[in-house]
Amino acid sequence: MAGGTTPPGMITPLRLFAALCILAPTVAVIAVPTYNTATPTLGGFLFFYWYQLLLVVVTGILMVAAYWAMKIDERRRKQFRAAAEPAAPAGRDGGEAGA
Amino acid sequence: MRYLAASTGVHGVELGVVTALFVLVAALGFLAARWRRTGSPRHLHEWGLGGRSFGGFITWFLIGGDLYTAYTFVAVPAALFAGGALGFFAVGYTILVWPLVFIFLPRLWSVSRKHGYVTPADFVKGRHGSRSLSLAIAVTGIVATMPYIALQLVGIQSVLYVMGVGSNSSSLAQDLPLFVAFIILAAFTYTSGLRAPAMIAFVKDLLIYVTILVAVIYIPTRLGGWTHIFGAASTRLATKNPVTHLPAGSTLLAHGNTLPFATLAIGSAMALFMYPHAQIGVLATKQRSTVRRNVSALTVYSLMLGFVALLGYMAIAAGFTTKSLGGNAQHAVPALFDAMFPSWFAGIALAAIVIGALVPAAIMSIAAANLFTRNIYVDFVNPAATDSQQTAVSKWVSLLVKFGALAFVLGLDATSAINFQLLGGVLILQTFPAIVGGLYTRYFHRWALLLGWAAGIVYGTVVAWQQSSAAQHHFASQVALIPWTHQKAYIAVTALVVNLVVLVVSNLVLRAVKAPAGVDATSPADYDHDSDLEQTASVATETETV
Repeated sequence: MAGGTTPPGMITPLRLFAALCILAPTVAVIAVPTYNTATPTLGGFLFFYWYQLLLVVVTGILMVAAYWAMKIDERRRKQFRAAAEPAAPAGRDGGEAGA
Repeated sequence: MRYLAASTGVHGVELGVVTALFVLVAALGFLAARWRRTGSPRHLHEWGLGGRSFGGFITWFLIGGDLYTAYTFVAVPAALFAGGALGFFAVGYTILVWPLVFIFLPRLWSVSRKHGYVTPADFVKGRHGSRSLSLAIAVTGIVATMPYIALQLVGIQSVLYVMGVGSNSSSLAQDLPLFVAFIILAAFTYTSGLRAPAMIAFVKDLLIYVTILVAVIYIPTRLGGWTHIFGAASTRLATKNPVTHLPAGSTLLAHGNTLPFATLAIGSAMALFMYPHAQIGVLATKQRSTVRRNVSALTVYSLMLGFVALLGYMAIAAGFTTKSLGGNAQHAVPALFDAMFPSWFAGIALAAIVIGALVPAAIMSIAAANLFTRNIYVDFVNPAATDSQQTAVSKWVSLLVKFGALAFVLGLDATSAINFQLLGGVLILQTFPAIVGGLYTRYFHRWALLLGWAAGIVYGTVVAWQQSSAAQHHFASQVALIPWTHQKAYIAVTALVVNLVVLVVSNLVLRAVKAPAGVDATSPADYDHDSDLEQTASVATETETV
């Protein structure tokens, strides 16, 4: 599968994607002036209120995306490590700690 | 249309429903002692962290229990009721919490699992090799948690008031129902530990979700729809106060409130997972991935919180005023439920608030007790304490903490409990650099972290103390002017900036004079490992190399 011969670096497309998913809602919440308005209203709700409630739902979806991206990324790293040191897979942690 | 605030006579049906549900929950709390037992009941991991055995499903309820307190149900809508849009920062805050959790809590989980840390102060001690820093973190955690527990009682008190039992002020005889409820809570926490709130959390959430769904659909239809609710809130909030000649607030953020709104959201989000009770839900999970997997599902709580907040506007539209609520805006939601719902359902809704207060109160007292045991008792009183001694101390301290909170509520009035909780938020945020910073770097010297912490605490406390209003002389506001500017911001965030400045400067000095750094008990690999299997394997190899 993925992995190949080059080890995955600190920054991979998957990690970058996860970082964006995490950053987007943070920036959206902090940019208060962009949503401090009454219109357009939705079902009687002022924009200020329905926008933030919608943002909660969007954040939930982005967190799922970030979770899967990190999961796939970690699996690829594991596969690469397993391929790199086929012997003594359990010794990895202790080895690093001792080094 | 106008509805009377309930203060005439005892509401029999409501009281009956609330009592029945309370008895059910108390029984569950006692039964929980035998639920999912994994190891020796004498070990602190068992009582204080539920055997570190909770999977995704239970964790969702448990962390939700931290977020959804009586404070959320009572104080957030009260803030909208009294002051308008600024109170809605609570939604932004619960959005910002999740990305933060996603980033740093898995690391805290891994290192705590590897080294058997039970509290955040345990981690700080291991990482920075400093007992004084860990003591500072532990004391901050306990001091910030106590008024938070007291606030849960304020929530219960306000339900009792609306039902016609209990009192608005403080009188021991009238507070007897509160006292009884609390003794039962204390007893099942003592016997069952963290398993009790974890089990009760199911019932609590069921009640809360049913209540909110019904409230959000049913109450607006009775009040003439959302347009009318927002309209009524807008009109009322714009009415000028005859004394100060200023409006109470508005349904949109007024000029100058943008930064307070943003900093309140950011500061509260950063502070939440510094509270020991919030971390406990994470440390009790079985696997590292549980935390991240849960984050997306946990946003459901944030959504519900948004609707709970809007109950404050519904109370305005229903004609309640602070005066008609006995002078206390905190009664807005219980009084709204009482006026809008048929009495049997009002009983269920009020029980949701009461049980919603019990779960976090139990988790908080356990967290504070663990801090005392691990970072004060073991570190400074009895270093040779056995596992069962630690558990015994924790159990007793959990009782002590709860009765301390009770004395707080009965001795002072509800307003001061809320003031102290606000101060608690300012204090707890000052532990952020030592805990979250420590998860990533050891660049900061332990003494610099301690100095920064002290500076933030002193600045935050003094500034919060100085805030006065027409109604109170101290602690009147969470926001204050940033020094040398005309802009207001959340005091906790300004104090954190002071903290960071002192930290960076003193760190440069300490490194320049080569002050001795503490011993780091952790290794880089400890922060990423993700299962028990791996842990056992690495422990095995460590012993072999030794």
